[in-house]
Amino acid sequence: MRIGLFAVFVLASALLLVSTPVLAHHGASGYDMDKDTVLKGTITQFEWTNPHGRIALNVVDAGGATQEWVVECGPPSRLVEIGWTRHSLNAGDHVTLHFHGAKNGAPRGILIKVVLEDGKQLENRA
Amino acid sequence: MRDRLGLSACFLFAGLAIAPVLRAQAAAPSGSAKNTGSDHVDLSGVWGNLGAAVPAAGAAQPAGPYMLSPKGTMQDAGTPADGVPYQPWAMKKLLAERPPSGPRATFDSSTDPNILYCELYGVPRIYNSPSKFKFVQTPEAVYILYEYGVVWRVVWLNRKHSDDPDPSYMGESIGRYEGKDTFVVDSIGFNDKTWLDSTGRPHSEKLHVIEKFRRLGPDKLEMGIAIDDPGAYSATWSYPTRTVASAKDFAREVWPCSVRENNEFNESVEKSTTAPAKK
Repeated sequence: MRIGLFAVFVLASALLLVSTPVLAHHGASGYDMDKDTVLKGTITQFEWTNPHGRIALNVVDAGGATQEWVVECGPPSRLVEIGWTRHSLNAGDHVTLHFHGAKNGAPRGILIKVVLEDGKQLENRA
Repeated sequence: MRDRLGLSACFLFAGLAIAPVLRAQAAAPSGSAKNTGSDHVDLSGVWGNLGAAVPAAGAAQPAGPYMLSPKGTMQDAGTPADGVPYQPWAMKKLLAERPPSGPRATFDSSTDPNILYCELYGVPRIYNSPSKFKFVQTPEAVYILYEYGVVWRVVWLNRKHSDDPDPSYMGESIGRYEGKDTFVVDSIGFNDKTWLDSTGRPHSEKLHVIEKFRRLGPDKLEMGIAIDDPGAYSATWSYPTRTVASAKDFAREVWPCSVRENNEFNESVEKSTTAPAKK
């Protein structure tokens, strides 16, 4: 019986591993879901839009150069259910974004969570 | 601004259109499988997929909102090995599509009519969305309201299908109650512009969909979907039966697909993400 249960567990785990996550609308195949990227920066725009939201973030590198990243987040209908409002992020806010970056290296990504300056965390839902 | 006014007008119109049925349901008991005195199932409540957190690397991937393969697997969904009896043209069309989900998922040059044009998902693809749906039962019809796309269907009771329904995105639906716990929706009259699901499976205008909803208790609804399309498949086949949970706050925020905002997203995110990798 123990072997049987273990086999079921292994099979279930395997199925989870090979499953392609079915995220909303356009999927996530453009992003490297096996790697997390963390960047600190200043929000330049927060788009509370459908079918996806977007966060634009200016990031200053060690050499002083500024690069704008655009990271997608879930739509308002998903985010309000986990505590977001259209005022959650504002231009000028200093935040840390955790996200999966584009596979091709472009400054784009899909959000995992935002950490605000006061330490509050907002998870993404898609 | 004009876009927002247009969207607001659409919601206002939709709200006015369904206000009578919402009032009718407000007087009905909700969230319970108890015997309400009627001879058929009480479908009140809010049902569906609640969405999932985007997982960090190494975390368990969320299960798909729908098992996309008849065999109950995901890794072969939308491939020649998935157990679906495709006719040759349907298989050829499937393999030419560039879908957002399944093992052939791609971001690049999508052919998904919803991603490209915000066209309606149609039936049964509407259940692929990680969003919620709700039944509004009246004596003459059952209305099914969907958060994604902000669409609704009317499922007529006590009548037969039209002889020659105009092809449409959501089809023509006739419903019947079975026993005290089940509601069956029989739909025909679809156009062939939609996909059956997010792996890109095609269908013809001969599509006939049978949805079966069985209430298992206060918080559980079992769903079965059968596909009968002699124009695209050599036999009737079914998606695996699944159970959806009850939820709260239906349509606290609806989920429209704004063509303008979707185009802006495609321009600012998708095109950059699918451009050739930097050297």
